[in-house]
Amino acid sequence: MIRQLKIRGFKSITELDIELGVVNCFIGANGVGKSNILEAVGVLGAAANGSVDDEALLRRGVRPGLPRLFKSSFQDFRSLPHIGLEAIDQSGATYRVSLLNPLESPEPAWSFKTETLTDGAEAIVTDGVRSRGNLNPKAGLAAVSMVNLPADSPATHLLQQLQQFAIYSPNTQTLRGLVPDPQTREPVGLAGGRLAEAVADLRKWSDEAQNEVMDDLLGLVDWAIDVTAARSVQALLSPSVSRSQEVLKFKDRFMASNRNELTAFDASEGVLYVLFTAALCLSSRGPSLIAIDNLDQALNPRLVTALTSRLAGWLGTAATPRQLMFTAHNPAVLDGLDLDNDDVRLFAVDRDSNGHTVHQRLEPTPELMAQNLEYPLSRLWMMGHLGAVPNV
Amino acid sequence: MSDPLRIALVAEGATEREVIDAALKVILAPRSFVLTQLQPEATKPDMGGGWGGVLKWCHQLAARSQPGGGAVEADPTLSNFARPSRTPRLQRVDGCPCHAQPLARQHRFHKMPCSRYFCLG
Repeated sequence: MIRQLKIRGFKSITELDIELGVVNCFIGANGVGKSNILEAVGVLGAAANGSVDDEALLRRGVRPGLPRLFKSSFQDFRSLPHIGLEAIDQSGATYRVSLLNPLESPEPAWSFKTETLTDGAEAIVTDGVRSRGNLNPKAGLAAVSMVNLPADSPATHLLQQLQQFAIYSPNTQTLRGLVPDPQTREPVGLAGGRLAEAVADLRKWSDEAQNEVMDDLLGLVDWAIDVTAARSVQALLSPSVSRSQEVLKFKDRFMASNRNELTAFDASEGVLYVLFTAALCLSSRGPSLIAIDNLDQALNPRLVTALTSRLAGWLGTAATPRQLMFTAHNPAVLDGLDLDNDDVRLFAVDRDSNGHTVHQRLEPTPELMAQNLEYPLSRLWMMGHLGAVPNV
Repeated sequence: MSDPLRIALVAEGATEREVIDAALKVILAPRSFVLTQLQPEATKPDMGGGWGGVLKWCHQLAARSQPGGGAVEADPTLSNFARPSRTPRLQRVDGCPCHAQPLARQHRFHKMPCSRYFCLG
């Protein structure tokens, strides 16, 4: 589990150190740099995989950009020649890179200026500027070194976690299965593709484990009594509707029993976003470090509170330890966060007076929680008391 | 790592914010800060702007504080903002033009928390 992130000179972030928990919620005004924090991890993930180019960035949900946009640029700030990124896990294993790409005549791929990998006790890769002619400066050494590392080494786990990292931004058309996902992944694509297959897997896992996850999930959708994945839905879908191989099929609670089935194409979009998040957090094939940009989109405030309150439990239920980073704009998200649990963390992201992205972990004091009934976090956010609001 | 000062602002309106923001940049330089305007709150316009809005905001603050009002720095809902480094000097509210005195008498305010809020300590 990654405990610490350090970001230097990336987009609006000149210098940022973050102590992560299991569930990490980032709130802030539009344009303060919440997504930049996620993208910095995406760049580090690409580096951990051995190559930082547009293809590797797109694969991780990072918007590709020229060095003049990727490197911080501020009037008061002397731009660094490189981007510096570092992740440290709970055992102390560390992966750190500094990446170069000239502002003028940029290269398609970034070069590794320095690269360090440790397992917490010993250095595995320590490489400065690639002056040696026999090494390709655009290829990361840590990714190659993995073949020599024991599978249970903390360094291996850290690299794998970073390599698997991706930023998910689901959209309704892809969740409905109407358009293909440009970035397919297991268990779901970055835009929500193959949701039906992911839900089928989730259902199978829940049945085999005899847990109540599916019942709990359906409890979040008051109009549906069942959800399955089906291949044959001829009777439910117009021939003009394009579809993926499998389609989600819902059973409506209120419709007549002989005509109560509908597909993801006709279902409310909210349920699709809930299923997407659940599949990502619970599936055994999901990445161990997940980022969801705008987790709250399309969700009713009460539903998003209920969804957020389940995240820590879902991540704990998964077969392998999971971490989630997400951004949100709906204040109701905050009321679902159990901030008494140290693994659930809320970060207010702002721009300081120089325009740099800064963050603050919001820790509830006992005095604040005593006022929570009258002043829930959602209201305090709207009042401006948590920061993370625009001065409009 | 940069550690900006987090400052909450209760003011008459957006113009005051611009002036105070510019002044703070000079006063606090080279330290950076994050200035968050609490009042007027665009999404809660019923308090209104001007000194009347400021007074209503103070009234709301007093309502969640100890009987008779309390210090701003004691308000747990504002714990994410910087605390004055010394006890601010209390000010009389005689000059407040928006019926502050009758309201203060009605609610038995001994001190007006708003006077503390503008002090940079």
